[in-house]
Amino acid sequence: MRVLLVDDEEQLVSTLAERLAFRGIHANWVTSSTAALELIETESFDLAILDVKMPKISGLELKKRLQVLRPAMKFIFLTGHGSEDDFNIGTAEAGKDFYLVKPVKIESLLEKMNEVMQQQGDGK
Amino acid sequence: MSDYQESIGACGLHCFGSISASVSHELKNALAIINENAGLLEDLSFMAGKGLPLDPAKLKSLAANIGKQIQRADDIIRNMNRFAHSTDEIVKCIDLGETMALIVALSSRLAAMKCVTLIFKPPPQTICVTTHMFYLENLIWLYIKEILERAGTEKEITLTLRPQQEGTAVIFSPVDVPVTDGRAIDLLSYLKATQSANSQHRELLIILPVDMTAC
Repeated sequence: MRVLLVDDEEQLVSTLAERLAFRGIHANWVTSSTAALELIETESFDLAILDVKMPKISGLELKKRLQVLRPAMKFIFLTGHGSEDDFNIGTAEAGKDFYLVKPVKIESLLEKMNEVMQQQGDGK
Repeated sequence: MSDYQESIGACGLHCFGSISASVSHELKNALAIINENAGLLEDLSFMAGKGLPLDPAKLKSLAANIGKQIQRADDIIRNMNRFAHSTDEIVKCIDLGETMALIVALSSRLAAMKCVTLIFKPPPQTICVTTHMFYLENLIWLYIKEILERAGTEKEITLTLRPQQEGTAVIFSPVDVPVTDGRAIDLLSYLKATQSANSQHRELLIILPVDMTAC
């Protein structure tokens, strides 16, 4: 599985990528939506793990753009919202995406990654 | 309570809520980084148990990352605590430089989301005003918010304080036009402050009288 990590907190994505590598998962990381859109032009990923709130282009907007370029790609959101309820209220229009509230336990993330990769359909 | 007072009260709640939400997001990020670095330490110690040698430089770097994020979280909480206590006394004599620095720090995430850096240049000497501290913070925050919304390609907004005959000017630069948010205008009036734009120098000024309490 090839994973793309996008979060404007560099230490978060770089460390998470190292931890995933220990578990045999190759992850590329970038710290902006713009960098993610550039990377996707030359690289393929099965799954993108996106921060919700990022400068310029939010995670939700990035997902829409990535889906156009890579329709088969799956998504997980990481949110700094206080609770899952907060996130649902703020992103009701975004559909039933998979998301986790920061800070995330690696076991929960791996479980969610497996869940989303087994999901059928168009990645929504 | 008049509509005017109700409007100012609601505006204050909105400001308090927005800043609290921003602070909680930032704390979550600091905690998430601590969590990943602690997790990586755990992974490394697990791998060491399997025979992979530990790299002391790596351990030192992870510990430093954790320490840095703890400091970041502590700074955020200290600022939030000071902000929360600004409602303790309704009217008091405040150090304007300290108050401005606090609001700029609390607005830094809002600015970062717009890809703008806020720079506050403290005055060489202490400038005091007697005011409703929370309402003044609310006013400055509303100005920052509107200025950020229309910042466009301006990547830095500088805030300075300049003593003037009629009080003190809070100066936002480069900014060409006055703020139009009705809540900010209500607060200006409530605090007996005025605003003016100097398009030649690209400065927007809020003029604060020395005593802002004679409302």
